Amino acid sequence: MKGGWFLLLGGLIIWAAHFLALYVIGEALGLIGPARLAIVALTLIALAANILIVRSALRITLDTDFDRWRRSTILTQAFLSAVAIVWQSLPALL
Amino acid sequence: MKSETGFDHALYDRFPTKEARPNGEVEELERIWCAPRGWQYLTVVNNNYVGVYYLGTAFLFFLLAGALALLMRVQLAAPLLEILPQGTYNQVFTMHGTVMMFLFAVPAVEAAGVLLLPQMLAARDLPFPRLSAYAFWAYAVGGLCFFASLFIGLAPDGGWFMYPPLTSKAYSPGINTDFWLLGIGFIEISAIAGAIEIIVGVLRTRAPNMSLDRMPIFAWAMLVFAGMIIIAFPSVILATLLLEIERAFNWPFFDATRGGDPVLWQHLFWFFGHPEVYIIFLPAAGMLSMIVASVSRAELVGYRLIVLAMLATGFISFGVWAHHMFAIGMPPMSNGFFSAASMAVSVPAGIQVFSWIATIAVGRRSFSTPALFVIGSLLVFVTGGLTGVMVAMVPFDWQAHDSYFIVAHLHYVLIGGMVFPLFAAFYYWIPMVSKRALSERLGRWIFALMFIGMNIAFMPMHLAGLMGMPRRVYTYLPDRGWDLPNLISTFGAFVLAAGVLLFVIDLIRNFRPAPAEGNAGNVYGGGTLEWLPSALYSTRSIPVIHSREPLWDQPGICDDVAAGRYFLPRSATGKRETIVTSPLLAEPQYLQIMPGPSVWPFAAAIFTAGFFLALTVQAYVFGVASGVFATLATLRWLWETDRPVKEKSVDIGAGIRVPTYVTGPSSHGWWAMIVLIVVMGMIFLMAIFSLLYLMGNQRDYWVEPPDVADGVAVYALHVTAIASAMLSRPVLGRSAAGAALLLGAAVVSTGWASWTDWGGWRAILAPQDSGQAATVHALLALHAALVAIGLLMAGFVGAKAAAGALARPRSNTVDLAALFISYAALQGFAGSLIARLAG
Repeated sequence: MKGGWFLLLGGLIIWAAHFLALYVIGEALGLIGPARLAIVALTLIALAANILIVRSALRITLDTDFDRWRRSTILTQAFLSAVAIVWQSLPALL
Repeated sequence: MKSETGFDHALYDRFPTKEARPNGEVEELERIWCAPRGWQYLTVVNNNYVGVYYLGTAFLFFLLAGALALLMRVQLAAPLLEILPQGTYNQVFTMHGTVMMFLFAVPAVEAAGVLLLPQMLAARDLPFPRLSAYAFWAYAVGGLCFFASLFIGLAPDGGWFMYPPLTSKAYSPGINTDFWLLGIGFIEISAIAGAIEIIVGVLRTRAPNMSLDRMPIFAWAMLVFAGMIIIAFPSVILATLLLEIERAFNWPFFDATRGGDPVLWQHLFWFFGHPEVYIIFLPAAGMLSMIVASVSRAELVGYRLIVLAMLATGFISFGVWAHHMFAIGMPPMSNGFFSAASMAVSVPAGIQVFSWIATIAVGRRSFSTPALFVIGSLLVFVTGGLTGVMVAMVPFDWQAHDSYFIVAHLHYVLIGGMVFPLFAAFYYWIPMVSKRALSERLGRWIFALMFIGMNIAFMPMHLAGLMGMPRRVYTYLPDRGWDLPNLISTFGAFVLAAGVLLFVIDLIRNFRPAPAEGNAGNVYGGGTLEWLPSALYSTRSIPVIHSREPLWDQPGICDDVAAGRYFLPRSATGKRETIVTSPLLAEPQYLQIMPGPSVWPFAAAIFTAGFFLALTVQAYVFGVASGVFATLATLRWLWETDRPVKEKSVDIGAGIRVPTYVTGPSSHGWWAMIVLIVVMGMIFLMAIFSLLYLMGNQRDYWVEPPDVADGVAVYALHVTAIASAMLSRPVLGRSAAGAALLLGAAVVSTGWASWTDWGGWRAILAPQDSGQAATVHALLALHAALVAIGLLMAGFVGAKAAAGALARPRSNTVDLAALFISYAALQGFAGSLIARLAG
């Protein structure tokens, strides 16, 4: 089972890491220009990481019900994670 | 078919077996898993008993906390009443919240897991039955003593969130606050013990072929729940520890006049406190998902999405803690992030709600009692969820904060999200543990009274809150427009209580638990494995499953299981045992020999509770003695475990052989230790967060730490300790005494490092000097505690080596001690480095 739990929870882990970074930036820098830039950069990195998760999921061969379940779970999660990451960044970007 | 462990899935085709089983197998299982008699009811460890004790005790606390709620409602029925004096009222509302959250809600869902999971997964028991018994007794004895503080006027009175500075020594000089801080210590231990049990149980003791996609949704919910406990509870453990140290030794973690910060408490508390809501909700959602599918006789709509929603809730709930703090003046950008996350967390909850509605829509209509509680739960929870989205918006929250609107919101969420599902579960699963089902006729009355009463009680509180009534006031002035809503709320509370009273009557009339004497059966036609014919040993044989609802999809499974045509139809070693399976695909890996009843977990639990309570009332000699006895009892309990096994491998059915002893990352003990290390790691991380938070917010009190380069000797000692501990594993094959010595040397090395580090810090700061000094010393104290435990472990390994009781060439006892001590050294290293860098 290549990737195992990390792949299964990948989207959510990326969301959590992104959120934690936003919190640290928000607390440490506040609403200044570099903070916004850092948040844009972080958001792009998080979205790119989600794309990597999607690529890995698409490589799973669909031999069993479990494979199908696993792949669809990872893909749905990555999609929801991407939406949540953008949503989470909006307070800083708007 | 791909395999996770190399197990050949074609072997599953051998089941159900065809040949007749030899006589005497069932009798042997009955002898091994025999029912207790007399005093043995105190030392029993089977989940069938411990689960019922646990759930019964949690329900008792629900009744007690409910009685406190009625007292409050009587006091608030009209303005300027003096039924409860102000001080007593403060104790009553604090105890109501604390008991409901810590002594009822979390233990109740954990108890449901202990009771249901082994049957649902077709395991003989959870993997650490003595740990379950310990968790229960520590909770029950400690909880009852804690509650009794109310009768002597010493109950905590600072609210269930215990904010300093109100709870600091200056403003709460009595021991009431200490009762809360130390009194819930055993509950934290109990919750974490239960979580370890549940995580390892769900991931490692499932029925063969029950891959993750076939796992009952309740098991998923319990897995996420337990994962959340091990992430969230360490935060409150640390917070209570720090506040108690501040009160006892004057270390100023939360004193803003000396470089501490009371807002730090709020961060630590709510990092636990808000996920706590989902910790309570998720198991209840798991129950609802199971019950909805059964009573509708339809497959759960959107299983995959529900799993995803539960996982998402588990993650996102850790991003919303600060929405309880919108009113304290956080930076606007932080408020924005937490507001966004608070709205986002409603999405996974919504997915589950829509899934339940869809399942009800496509299935058969049912108005049985569980179905009614499910529908009631949906309505109440959605109402609470909607007001939750309202208070997630910062400007609205500023208006509603600390008003009765919040009281209404949280009760809608918690009653709809946990209490009603639990009552649905009582009606649905009691036939599994009782010879008689509960009354459907009474059940409908109970639902009606509770649903109507609940809405009459809490709906007017929205209005009272919007009209400006603050929370936590013991009375109010007339002519503010609050009189009528309060009177109505009091009336509703009594209607709700009448429903609960009727339920108690139903229990007295019909609940007849007798795990050894059969049950009322599958009244609502559930399709999962807990409805297989079972006895004290769980099922006669452990089935191979091919779907999520095997009882619906595998005809004849009940008869085949009862006839012993699947795995483990007998005791292979003459002892209690279960099959350990792989985490993803549930492939059989090895046979776990399980410990039986013992007085030692019971004794350890009693003395653990005694330790915390004695410290609270400042009976230090008794407290220290209790601590020593608790430690000795625990060591004695562990002495009997992890013994060499005579049979190296055994036939677990159809000629399939598995080993009886496994060490390293495949063993269930290793998994439990990893979970425990995560708990300790989270406590450490939260302590580091505290240090960095104070550094960012109290710069005026910060002093230059010792130079990073000065710590080289300290770092080297920690690294040596890690190397020495890990070396003990391969050395065990050659010399048991050598392994024990290496572990001892590792502990001495990391302890010496800490002592040296402390010397450096002591030269520039005393712990009472500032928030920075207190936090650095707290980090060192945390490490010292790990060193002390490591010393006990090394001594234990040495004693086992001397007695020839260590399995060789590999031993789980040595593995786990090596893991723990390595972690302790790693934490010491990281703490030392970060404290020096935090300048």
